[in-house]
Amino acid sequence: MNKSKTLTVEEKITELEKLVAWFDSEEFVLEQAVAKYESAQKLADEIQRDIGTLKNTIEQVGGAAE
Amino acid sequence: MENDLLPKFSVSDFVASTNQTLEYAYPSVVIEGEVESFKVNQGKFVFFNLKDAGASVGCFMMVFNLRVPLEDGMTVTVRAKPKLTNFGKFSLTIDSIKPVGEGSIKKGFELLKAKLDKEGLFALDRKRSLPELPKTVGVIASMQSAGYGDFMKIADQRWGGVTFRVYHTLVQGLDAPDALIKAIRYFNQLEVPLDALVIIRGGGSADDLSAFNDELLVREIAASRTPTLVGVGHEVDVTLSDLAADVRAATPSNAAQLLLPDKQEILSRIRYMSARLSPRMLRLVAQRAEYTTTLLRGAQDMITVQFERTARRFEYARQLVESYNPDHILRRGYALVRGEKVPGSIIEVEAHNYKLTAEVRTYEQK
Repeated sequence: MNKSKTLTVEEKITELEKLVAWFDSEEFVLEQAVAKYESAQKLADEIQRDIGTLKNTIEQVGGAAE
Repeated sequence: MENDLLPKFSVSDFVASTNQTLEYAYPSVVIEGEVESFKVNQGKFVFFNLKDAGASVGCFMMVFNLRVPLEDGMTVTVRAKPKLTNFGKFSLTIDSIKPVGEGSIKKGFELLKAKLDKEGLFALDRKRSLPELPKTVGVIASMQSAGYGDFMKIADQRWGGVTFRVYHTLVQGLDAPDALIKAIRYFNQLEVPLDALVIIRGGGSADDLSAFNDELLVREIAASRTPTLVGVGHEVDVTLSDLAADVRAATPSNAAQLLLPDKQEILSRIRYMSARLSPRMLRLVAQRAEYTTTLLRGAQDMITVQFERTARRFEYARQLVESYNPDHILRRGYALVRGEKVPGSIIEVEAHNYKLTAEVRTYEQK
């Protein structure tokens, strides 16, 4: 899952949605199910951790009132 | 006093000197009054009188400085420079003007709204949607305002990882529209475009919010390269900037709600997806097993059907072969004759239950 380290939260959520959708799709193959399941669980944990730690940043770029 | 002691001018010098004095005394003045005899000449020059109960003064301005439609009877505040013209006429050269008082603000609002609406600036098909998870957002606001504080507070509660690039600016007064336009242009000329541009201002009087009904500002918002989200005033306040924006928020707090997803909702969704996976996988495995059993049963059924079909074919063939058995004919009373068909030869006759030999006496064709 090194790839997921470089993904944004949005991309990770999309990836998780794809994995979940795979279980309902025609592409479902029993042999791959366990690996996909583990990837999905790991991704879900990562997303929860990421969302918990994300902070907004503020940069003042210009202008001055009064 | 002797005339020699008094200052002496040519007419031109006197006008120039008076203007110098006026400029020194009133480099710029703000005057409130009622519009009278409003007219636009050659599509470029605006003339009207500004009056109150006791006085009236002529005003002049360029049409591009007229940012709100005017009509006679409207009360306005102007910022102007007093000037004596070369024809000796005193007038105010206006650089900015805005309606004041509820009635005039409303009138100006309605006139401009009708004009811009006719041009399609508020059309729904022009509206763009905001990205689901913006990463870089431009914010135009007064950083000291409560509205800005509310926006940032709600933004931090809802989501993280966003870079807010804040342009601190005036949000009310005669200079506010130009300041806001400058901020919008700053963000729109960035090499890497922003995901969204948020313009916010907290509540205030109709006069406080009137900067957001400035024609050039409204046009700038409508033409913005970056999708715009405008949240000005309270829920009941509607400005033309709101109407021109891609997305209108009722308040600055509401702007944060519309801009960013709620992390609690996303987390719930993630937990839900995660929790459903395990039973879903078990169900899918069970479905596959059931399907396999069904296939097996089907195969068994097909084998039985094929076997029965083959057995029937065999029985039919067997019966056909049996029907050709000559013994059956002999049983019906016929006999089988073997030997040569010439008189004098001995032939063998076989019946169902006996055999005999006989001599051929005669032979003829029938």
